[in-house]
Amino acid sequence: MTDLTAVDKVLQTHNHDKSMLVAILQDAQEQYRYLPKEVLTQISIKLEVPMSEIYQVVTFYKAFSLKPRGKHICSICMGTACHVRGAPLILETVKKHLDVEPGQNTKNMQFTLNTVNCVGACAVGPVVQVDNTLYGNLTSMKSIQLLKKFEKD
Amino acid sequence: MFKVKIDGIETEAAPETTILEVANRELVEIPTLCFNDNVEPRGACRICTVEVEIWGRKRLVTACNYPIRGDIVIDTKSEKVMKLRRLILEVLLARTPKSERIQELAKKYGVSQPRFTVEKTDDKCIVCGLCVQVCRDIVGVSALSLSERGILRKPETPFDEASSTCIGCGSCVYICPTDAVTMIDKDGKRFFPRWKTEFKLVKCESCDNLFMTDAQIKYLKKVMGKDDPCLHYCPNCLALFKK
Repeated sequence: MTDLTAVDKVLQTHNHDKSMLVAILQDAQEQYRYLPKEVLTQISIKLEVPMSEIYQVVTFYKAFSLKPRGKHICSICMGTACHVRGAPLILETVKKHLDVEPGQNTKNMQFTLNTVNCVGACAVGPVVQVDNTLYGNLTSMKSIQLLKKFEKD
Repeated sequence: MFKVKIDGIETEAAPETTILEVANRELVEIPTLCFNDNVEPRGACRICTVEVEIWGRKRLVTACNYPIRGDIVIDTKSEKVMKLRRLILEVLLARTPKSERIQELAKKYGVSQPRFTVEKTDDKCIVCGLCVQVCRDIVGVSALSLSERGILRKPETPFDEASSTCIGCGSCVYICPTDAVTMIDKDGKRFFPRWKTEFKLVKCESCDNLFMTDAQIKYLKKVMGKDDPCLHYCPNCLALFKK
C-alpha cells in the first residue's frame, strides 16, 4: 500500500486547485519518484477531476512516469550534435555498464536509463543528464566515472 | 447575413453558421467521419476539408467547425481539396484497412493501395476521439481518455483495464464512425472488448427482456435523484403503459 500523506500534503500546498493539475502531478512525482495508481486515484478524488482526464495528462507528457523509476535518472542525449560526436558509443558503454536497455531501471533501482533527443547543450556535446545536472564533453570512459559517483548515494 | 457561394450556388448564411451546415442545407455533399450533431465538432479526421476564398485569399479549412464570419466563396471539390482528401484516405486506409466505412470512402475517391505501411492493421479505430467526447459531454461519466500522443495516441480506459466509472450505456459503440468500438450482449452480460469492461444486464420487470446494465440504473438513479418507472421497465413496455 502506498503512503498517501505525501500526496495529501502536495494537494494542500496547491489549495486543491484543479487548474494546478500538472504542477501537482510534478510535485507528487518528486515525492514518489513516479506516479503510482493509488496516488493518481487520490488526486482524482480530492480535485474532483475524472481519472480519465488525469490519465490523459500523465500519458501525454514524457516527464511523467507510471512505472517505478530509479533513484537517479540518467538521460543520454541522442541529438544530432551529440550523435556525431559519439553519443551512440556512450550509450553502448553505459548500457553495458548498467546492464539495462533505455527506458529500464537497474536491478538495484539506483538508475533509470533514458535517451533524449536534445537537451539544448549542443556546444558541449556529447551530453549526459543525470537528475537535473548536465555533464558535457563526455567520452565513454568519463561517462562511467560519472555514473560511479552516483552509485553510492 | 453573409453572402455565401458554395460550389457555384449563391446563398446566405447567418454569422457563426458552419460551412457544413450551409452545405447540408444546399444539398452539397461533404464527406465526414468524426462529425456528430450532438457533440462539439473538433475537426479531428480532416476528411471534411474544403477550400475557401475570403478577400481573394484561398485556404483549406475543415467544414465541420469553420464558422462563417464574412462573405465567403467555398469550393468543396477543387483539385486541391480532392488531392488532400485522397491523401487523408490513404493514411486512414493504411491504418484501418479492415474498416468498411473507410474502404467505402477510399473507393469513392479512387484510393486503392496506400503507399504507407503500418504494422498493426486489425484495428478499425481512426482516433477521432468521438467516444471520449460523448462519454464526457453527453453521458457525463468521463470513463475514457485519449492516452499517449503522436502515433501512439489511442482511446482507452485509464490504465487500459476495466473501468470503474463506465456505466456500460454503449454510447461509444453507437457514435463510433468506423465500428471500432463493439459490445457483446451474451448470457445476461454486456462486454466491451476494447474497454475490457463487463456489466450485468437487468431484466425488464414486465416483459423479461434484458434492457439496461446494473451500473446504468445505479447512475441514472443518482442523476435523477429518485426512482423512476423507466429504471424498471424497458422502453417498449413503457410505451405500452402510456397507451
